[in-house]
Amino acid sequence: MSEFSSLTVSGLNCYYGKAHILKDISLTVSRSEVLCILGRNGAGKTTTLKAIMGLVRPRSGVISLDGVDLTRVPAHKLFSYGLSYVPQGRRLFPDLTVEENLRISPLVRRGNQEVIREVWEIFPVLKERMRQKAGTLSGGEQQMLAIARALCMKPKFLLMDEPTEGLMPLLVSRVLESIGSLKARGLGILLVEQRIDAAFKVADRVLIMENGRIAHETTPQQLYANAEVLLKYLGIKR
Amino acid sequence: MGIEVPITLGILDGVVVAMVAALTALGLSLVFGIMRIVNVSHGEFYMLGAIIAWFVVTYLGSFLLALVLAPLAVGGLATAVERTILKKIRYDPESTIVATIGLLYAIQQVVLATFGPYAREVSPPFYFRVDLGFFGYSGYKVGVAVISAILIAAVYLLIYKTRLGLFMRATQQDTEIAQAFGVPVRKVYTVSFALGAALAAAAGVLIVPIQQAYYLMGLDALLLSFIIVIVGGLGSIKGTLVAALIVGLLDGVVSVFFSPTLSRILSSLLVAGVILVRPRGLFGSGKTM
Repeated sequence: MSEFSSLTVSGLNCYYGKAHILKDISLTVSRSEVLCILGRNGAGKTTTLKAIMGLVRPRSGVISLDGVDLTRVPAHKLFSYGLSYVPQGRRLFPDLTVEENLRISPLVRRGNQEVIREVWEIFPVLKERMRQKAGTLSGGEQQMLAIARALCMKPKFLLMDEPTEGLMPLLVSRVLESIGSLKARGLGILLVEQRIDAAFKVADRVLIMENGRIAHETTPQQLYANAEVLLKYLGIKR
Repeated sequence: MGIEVPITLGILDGVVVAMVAALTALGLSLVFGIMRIVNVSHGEFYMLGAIIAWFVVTYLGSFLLALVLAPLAVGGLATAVERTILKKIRYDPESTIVATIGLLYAIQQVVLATFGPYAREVSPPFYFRVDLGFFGYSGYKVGVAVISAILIAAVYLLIYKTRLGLFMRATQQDTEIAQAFGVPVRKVYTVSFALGAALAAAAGVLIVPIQQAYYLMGLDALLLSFIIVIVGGLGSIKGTLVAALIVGLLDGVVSVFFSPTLSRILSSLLVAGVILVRPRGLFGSGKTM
């Protein structure tokens, strides 16, 4: 694995019908890095992640991983290049059991339980509940399962869409901790957040999106100090 | 001889009808559950199964061969339909209804032109009487119920115990996210549509020694399937089975004493009642399979 391995998006333009949703988005995430995208509702954060996952087809632009062009790769084959996804609102398969949610992964098959065993180690509570339907888990457990499901794809790069949404503070910090430990294991993480404190805690770099564009690129430290940017793009007064 | 003979006969006939209807309805339910489309030509796949069975038995002389060939041929046709027509209209629910209505007439007319407007008989592959003490019952009908039950059990195992089944359930619950986790959704669609059609065809083959092959027989099967699927809850195998038994037994028992039309009226009332009380059917939770 190259040390300079990276996920790169350049000049990405996406439309929903005639609406121009993403305008010339370019970004790069390296391994062992957390890049956080902040922005208001409707800024295009989720669409950016969906476009990278092949779920929204871009009209122009290139998505590449380690120099391999992924722009036209069908969504269901992207995982084999090392991409995985924690979607907004978790989007588990609610009527499948916890174990079945993980077994969806082509890398987890009967007889080859290594991937799944790793996940049980990280989230022991899921193992206790493996025969339970995903829809019956608590909010925090569901979020763990969403992350576990993504990890079962053995990603090099993980796209996370508001993983702390709707969680109580204790669970928020646990999710943020797990993001930190995934980063320490060498994953590159593209994190979409609404919560600015989360970004401050885990991000290495921060992109601020507004109206489908990347309006500002900064670091958490700079952002923390920059009251003007906070107010202008995120509506936070301090 | 009292009333128990016709009642027992009605119940037995009802169970046989129910099992075949459950098999047909299961195909419809599978396609709707996974692809969210209503296949109006489902009854024609059933009819084609019966027609192909007549051809195979008449020219090749083997009923068993018909039971294998007809589902394969109809599954193949459904695959072609799915890859060309349904894909082209992007599985849009409204367009699919219109497209499959067109397909319904196309299939009917082709069969009318080749098979003719006759109701043709196929003799059962085996004869024996099941002696119930006070009267005998057709061994073939018992066979039909048993084979239907085996096929339904096989579908159940496919859906709950295999990887393909897991993919089908994941696709049903969240098509977009399923793709992100490596599920080849397009292939799942093709296989589900073909499987749904093949189940209808198998039911058509099984019924033909009891009911004769006729180019308009699909319409009744379609209506019955809709009734069963709505009463049982879309996408629920258990619901399909229970609803089929209710409707089948109603049909069998009522038909013994009154006109078959009355049993249809009662089934329709049942549908109306279920929709009023449980809009998602007896076992439907909206998303469960």
